[in-house]
Amino acid sequence: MRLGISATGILFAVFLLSLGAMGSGALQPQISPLNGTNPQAYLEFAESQYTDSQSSSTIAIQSALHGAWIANEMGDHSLAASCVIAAAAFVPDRESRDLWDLAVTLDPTRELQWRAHRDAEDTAELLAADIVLNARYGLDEADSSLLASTEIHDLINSALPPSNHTQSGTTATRVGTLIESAAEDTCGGRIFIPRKNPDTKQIERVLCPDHTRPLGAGRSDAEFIELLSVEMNLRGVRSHAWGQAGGAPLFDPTIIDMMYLYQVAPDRPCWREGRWLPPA
Amino acid sequence: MADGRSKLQSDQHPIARFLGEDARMGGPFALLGIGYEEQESGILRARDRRLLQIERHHQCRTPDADEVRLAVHAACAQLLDQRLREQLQQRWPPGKPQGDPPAWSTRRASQLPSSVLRSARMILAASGGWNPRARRRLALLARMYRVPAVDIIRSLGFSRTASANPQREKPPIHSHSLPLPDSSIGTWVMVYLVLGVLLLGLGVQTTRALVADKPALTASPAGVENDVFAKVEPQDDRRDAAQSSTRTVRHYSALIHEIEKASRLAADDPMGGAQAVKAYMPSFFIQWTAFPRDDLEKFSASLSMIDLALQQSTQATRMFHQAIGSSASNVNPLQAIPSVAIRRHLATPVNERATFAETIDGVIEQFAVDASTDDAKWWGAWIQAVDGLHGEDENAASRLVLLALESRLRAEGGSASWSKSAALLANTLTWRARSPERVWMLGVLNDSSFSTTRVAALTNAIATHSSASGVRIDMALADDATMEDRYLLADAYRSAWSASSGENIFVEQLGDELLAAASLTGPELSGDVAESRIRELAKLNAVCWVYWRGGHAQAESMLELQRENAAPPVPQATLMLEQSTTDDRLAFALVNADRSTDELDELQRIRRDQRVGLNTAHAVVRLAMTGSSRETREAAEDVIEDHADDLSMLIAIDRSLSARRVSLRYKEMLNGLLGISLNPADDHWISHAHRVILTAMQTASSQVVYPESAALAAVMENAYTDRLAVGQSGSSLLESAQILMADLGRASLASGADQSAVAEVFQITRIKSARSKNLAQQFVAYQWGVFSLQSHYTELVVRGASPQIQHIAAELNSRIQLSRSVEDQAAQIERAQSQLWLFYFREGQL
Repeated sequence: MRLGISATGILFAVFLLSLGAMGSGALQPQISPLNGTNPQAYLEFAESQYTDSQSSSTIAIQSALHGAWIANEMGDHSLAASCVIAAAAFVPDRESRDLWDLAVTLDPTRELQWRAHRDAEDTAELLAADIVLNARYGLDEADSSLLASTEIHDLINSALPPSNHTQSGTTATRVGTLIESAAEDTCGGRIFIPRKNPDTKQIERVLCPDHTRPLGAGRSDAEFIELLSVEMNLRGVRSHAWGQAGGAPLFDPTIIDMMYLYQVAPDRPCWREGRWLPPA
Repeated sequence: MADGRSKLQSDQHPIARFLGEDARMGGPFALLGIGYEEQESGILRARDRRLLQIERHHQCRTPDADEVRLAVHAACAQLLDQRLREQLQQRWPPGKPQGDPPAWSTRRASQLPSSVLRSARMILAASGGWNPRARRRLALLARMYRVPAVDIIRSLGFSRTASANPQREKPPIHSHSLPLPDSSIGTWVMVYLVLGVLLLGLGVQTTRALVADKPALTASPAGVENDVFAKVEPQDDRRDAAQSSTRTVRHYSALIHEIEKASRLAADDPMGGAQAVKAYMPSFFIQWTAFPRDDLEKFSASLSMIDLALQQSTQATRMFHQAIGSSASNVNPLQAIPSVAIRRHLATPVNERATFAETIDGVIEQFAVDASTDDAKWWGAWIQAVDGLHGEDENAASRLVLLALESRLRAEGGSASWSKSAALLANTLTWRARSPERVWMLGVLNDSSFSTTRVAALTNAIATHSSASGVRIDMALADDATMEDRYLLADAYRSAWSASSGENIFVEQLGDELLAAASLTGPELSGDVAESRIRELAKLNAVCWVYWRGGHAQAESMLELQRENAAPPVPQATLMLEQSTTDDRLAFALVNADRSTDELDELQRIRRDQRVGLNTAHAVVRLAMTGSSRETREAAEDVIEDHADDLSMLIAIDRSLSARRVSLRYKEMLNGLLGISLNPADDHWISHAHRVILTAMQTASSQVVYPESAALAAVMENAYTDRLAVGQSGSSLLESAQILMADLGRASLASGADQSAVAEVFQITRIKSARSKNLAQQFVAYQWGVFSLQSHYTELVVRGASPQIQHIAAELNSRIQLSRSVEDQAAQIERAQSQLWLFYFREGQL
């Protein structure tokens, strides 16, 4: 009797387990094969890769871009935009701006989503901008230790395109030097400091003698322009000036550009054996 | 049953059994499953695929499988021989590649036009091969022509080279059985004997081909003179195996009559019909240029009926197709063109067919674009083909000749042959006033993608051989001319042709100016050239706007004035932020004034100065915030307002925001001064104000940092302000552009435009503007918006304008994506706007 109950219990447990396995199998989404024909399948495949794995992210981005390419070729711009947005989900916010620009170019009805993403504040960029501002004005708030952060350092240096650089060395180095100079400055970033007139014995306000140029003007015109441009780029402030002659054109981003950037070959749309292959 | 094979399988041919029915269609191409364009690596891959296919078959170990493997190897060996392959193409059909996924398969219905292929090849060449720039350009080309990019990539032979021989036409597929023995030892000996004989025969044929004079399909490389026409006579065509069966017919009407007879005959006697076609086609190839258009269509219709009637007889079909294609490889384009055209025409499904004349036109164009020869005789024959087809239609003939010239101008190097051919081609054009060749020539001179050596030969030809009026004999380039020389010559042409046009009517004059200005604006303009083009085009477009709004007299005077160059403003040397004694003294006096009256006196003194130094500005701002009396603070605010555009004052204001407390009153003053809309009580006011001041600082410093750009921005602002109606005013370049967009939007809607289409233009413009990083890019965004709305409007008010408008838009799209600077983009969009105005004035309402 006891043996029979145990056997029944074991059988029942096995039965439950198999139901569970079948259920999970049934619940798992069936993704169509990626063979260059169905862009929706690429989108689903990309979304299914949402894990913390770096390799999964790369595959997801590539799959999403394949899907965008195929959808766009088929004339389904809305789906193409969705695929691009899906790719953007796997990329850090700062780097995903180009993808978002592409999505809204493909489907302008995504404007609100795009603006929300674009206008979202990037804390690191704002911090870097504050450092540049405080360095230019020699304010006490300028903290050179923040420049030790690779992220801040790189943000400051990359805020200007190389063609706009007119001086040797990097912007971050110059900012660091400005901060160090300000730290040694007796006025502590003040424009006028009180001093006793040796003749009249009266306290009067004088310009800080340590400053070779007025506060806020940088050490040269070129440095001032550079710091201004860097800060504007970091804060996302658009210039109202025409800009440098021969300045960068305004391009609409294309799927091909993104595919090149993320190493996606349009002639290898089929996912087989764990890699992207040409059609069989 | 022997060998365990089913009866069905034993009845099936071994090749079909192992490789499929397609492989059995006959010849080595079908056996390997490849097309004519495959090169060595592709042939070897195809061989490997077929061998793998055999290997996977469950009977892969049988003698039949070995026989098929032998056949595959033999086919591969034949096709790896280049010359032999070319000969085999004449006899055997192409193979059918093993299945592609639908998204990648070549769609039969969407055969790419030759113009698209030509553009794609030129893009690849101009981009230096397959690289990101080429990819971007090709993607744009696909969008322009609304064809899938995949098709363009495949047609270029992505990952493999594609050959482009216009005379390589595909003969129709016809069945042909490859005899193979059954499996017995004796027959194996037979197999090897047969194969040996076959190889020996092929070797002999190869040797004959090497030794015999073989007419080239294209001319030898540039610089090598080759009198290819010496051997070209229809009777010498070695592929015409039954010379005695040709019949000479003297008049085209008789030819039509005979072919119509043949079409009736073919219904009952296919071989008879095919033989008749074979007899008369050589005469057609010689006389086709004498056919009037209607009779050409009749002729092709008869051939089409014969083609249909012969479908039941493979032998008759083969004879028919050999007959119509017999001249396709003729080195004389005058005879090759009709043969290629007939084949192409009959290969196109009936419901997709253009007229036969249009097909011939397409083939003539393809010949011109794909030709790699400068041989004057070749081009002379080609010109005869053009004349023969288009006769009195100058426009159609000019279009082809200009295409041919453009194609040859992109070749490298010059030659005596090219000089002769250029003269021939130039002489076919009329060069009359308002003819397309005039503006085309201006564009050529300004486009650096055309070889100077070859352009020089063309200018010599125009100066000495053509009927171009106003062009003197000295108006020609030297071989080593620079782009500057070319620009100067373009100006000389323009002056000569404007003077000789003799037009007095304002609109005609304006149209000529627009045409010339647009032609002088080539693609990918360099910095200075782009700026000069923008200035001229912007002013001309402003004249058009004023005229469109009804200001005729004003437009006429503007047109006269637009040729005068305004003196550029004198740029400021420095930002003037240096420390100075005067500045320090003023600042010291201000901050150390004992009484309010002293402060007021100093402030009054400063107000009279044109500029204030930075230290003085700091002092003024300090007084505005913490002055000893209300009068002092208000006086300081007045000084700030007076100097609000000075960089020094802006820096001082910006610095003041870092203070611990900024009063509400001070914030309200800045709100009014700087146009800040945020409530001063808002927590984000300071960061918002700082952003506004950053923008103002950069604008204030731009005069020093980018004086040329600032001058250009001022010119554009004037040009766009001039376009506004009476009573309208725009405080900035962008505001003026927005007003223009609003005007065009209203005009489009009033003319029946789709509201959502107009709204989409505004939305896209908004998005582009938001993505812009500076004024120049923002301006380009608005320029695009103006152009788009202008396109909508022009399409609505000018009947039949759509194709031309779409062409202008497509060309603009391509050019702005190729631009290397924002100024070039601005120039291209102004050019496109000029083209729209030109179209509007010439084709639509005045």
